[in-house]
Amino acid sequence: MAGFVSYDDLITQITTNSQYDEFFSYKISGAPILAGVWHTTWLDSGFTGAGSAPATTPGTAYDGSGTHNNGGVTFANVSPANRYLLTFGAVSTTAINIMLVDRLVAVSGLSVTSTGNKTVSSTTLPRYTTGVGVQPWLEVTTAFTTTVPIITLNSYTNQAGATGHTGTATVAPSSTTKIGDMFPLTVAAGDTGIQAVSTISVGTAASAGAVNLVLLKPLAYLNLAAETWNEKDFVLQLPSMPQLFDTHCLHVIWQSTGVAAPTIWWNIRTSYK
Amino acid sequence: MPGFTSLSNLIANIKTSGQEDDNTFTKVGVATNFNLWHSMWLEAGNPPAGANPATTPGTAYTSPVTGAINFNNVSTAQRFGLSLGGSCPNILTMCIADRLVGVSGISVASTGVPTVSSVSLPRYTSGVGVMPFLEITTATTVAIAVGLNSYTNQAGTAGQSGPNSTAIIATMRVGDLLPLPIASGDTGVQAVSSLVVNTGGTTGVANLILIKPLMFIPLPQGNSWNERDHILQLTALPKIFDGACLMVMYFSSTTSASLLQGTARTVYG
Repeated sequence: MAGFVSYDDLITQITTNSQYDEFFSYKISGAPILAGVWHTTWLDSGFTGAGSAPATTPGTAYDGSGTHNNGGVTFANVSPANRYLLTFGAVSTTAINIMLVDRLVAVSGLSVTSTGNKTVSSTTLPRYTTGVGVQPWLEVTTAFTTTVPIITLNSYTNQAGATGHTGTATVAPSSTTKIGDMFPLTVAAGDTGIQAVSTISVGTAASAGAVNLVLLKPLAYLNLAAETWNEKDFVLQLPSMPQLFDTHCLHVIWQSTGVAAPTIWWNIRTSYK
Repeated sequence: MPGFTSLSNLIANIKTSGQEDDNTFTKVGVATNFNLWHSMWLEAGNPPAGANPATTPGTAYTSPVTGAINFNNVSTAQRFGLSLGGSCPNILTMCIADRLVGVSGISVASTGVPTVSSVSLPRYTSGVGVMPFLEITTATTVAIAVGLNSYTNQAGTAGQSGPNSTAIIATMRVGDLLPLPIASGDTGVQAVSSLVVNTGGTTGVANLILIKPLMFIPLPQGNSWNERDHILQLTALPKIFDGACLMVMYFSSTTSASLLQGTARTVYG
């Protein structure tokens, strides 16, 4: 049976069987438009390098095939064993919150410069296929100008496979939201996740602007005072051991407390059995 | 079979078999810049200052090495990090890294494509997770912009290149570290063939170093000891290979010189 049967077993897997992997990464990120806005590191250079833009509709599934996982951290598949997150630590040049996410699907080339429905028709989730806990975000790829866009999940498939669900309207952070800024879209009452997005609706358009629709699964969080390492353990400190499914595509997004561009250094440790 | 079969077995290795080693260190830092990593390799203390590596193809570090926090080899057993602690007058984040390769005498004073041709890695030979930095040995006066012009990645693919890394300040001081980003899709570096200096520093010389960071700890309050356990507090048990050349580096929050004291505990079995 996959997984650890005891703490002793976990120690054995780490030390005796070397079923342990870790990775130290950094990203030289961009400046957000406002404090409190989330920002992606997918597009940023560092260690690993910048991720590629996803395909246009139906988009890209980050499933470990091809080269599209390149901007993230992907450990080797271990099936039929299971891999779990042991620790997550980071330091940043500015005070931020960071979220470790599994990037599942993204669709590029969605313009917010005209009102109306925009076709997304996102491809099938490669992991978390029920959609429970899967969140829809917009990742800005062309900066907005002039007007604050208002955007809605117009038609999506929820965690129960019900199609045609509609979320509530989301107001973008600013009329001049910058490249790399992110903001989440809301789901309908009663829904707990998303399997796929059919269309988004732009209720109020900007003069310029384009976004990626990203479906992601949050895994872990840290708050970081500037220049101060913080690290969480998921075995004994926060006993949760988030599972990292085969073909995962991990990267971090961050929430600013100011408008400076941070460089973020982060480390994750994993074990599998 | 090396390693530990349980927490009890690990404790038995420490207490019954005496297979625990610790190493207390003190490094006398020099003034630095803040918001960047800084190497204490060249700085005095206990262990004493390390020497600059050789010029191309450089030095592959296998302990015992002057300047390193040295532990004895234990093969066929394996050594793991138990804890890391430290104290410093300044607020900073300390990291212990395995210094793998260094190549000295790389001028970043003017634009060009300096040859590195680094020697083979002595550990982590696949290169996965091995990070390239410039370690400043002569200060710069203009913010340098440097990239990996040609390197061999973790798959053994030669001729890879990375984007520019621009220093956050014109006056990079001795010991300051400039990270060199890698290409999209890569997860580490086996060797560096050449760099490209796109903006020269008017002055400036650096070592190219390849390192593997292992343990981290925040020191969030001046002169206040902090220590992290890597078994029960952070389930990590980072492996320390025979020959590891452990160096101290820190992420600074001030320009003041840092007198850094610390201790690293290990166990093997």
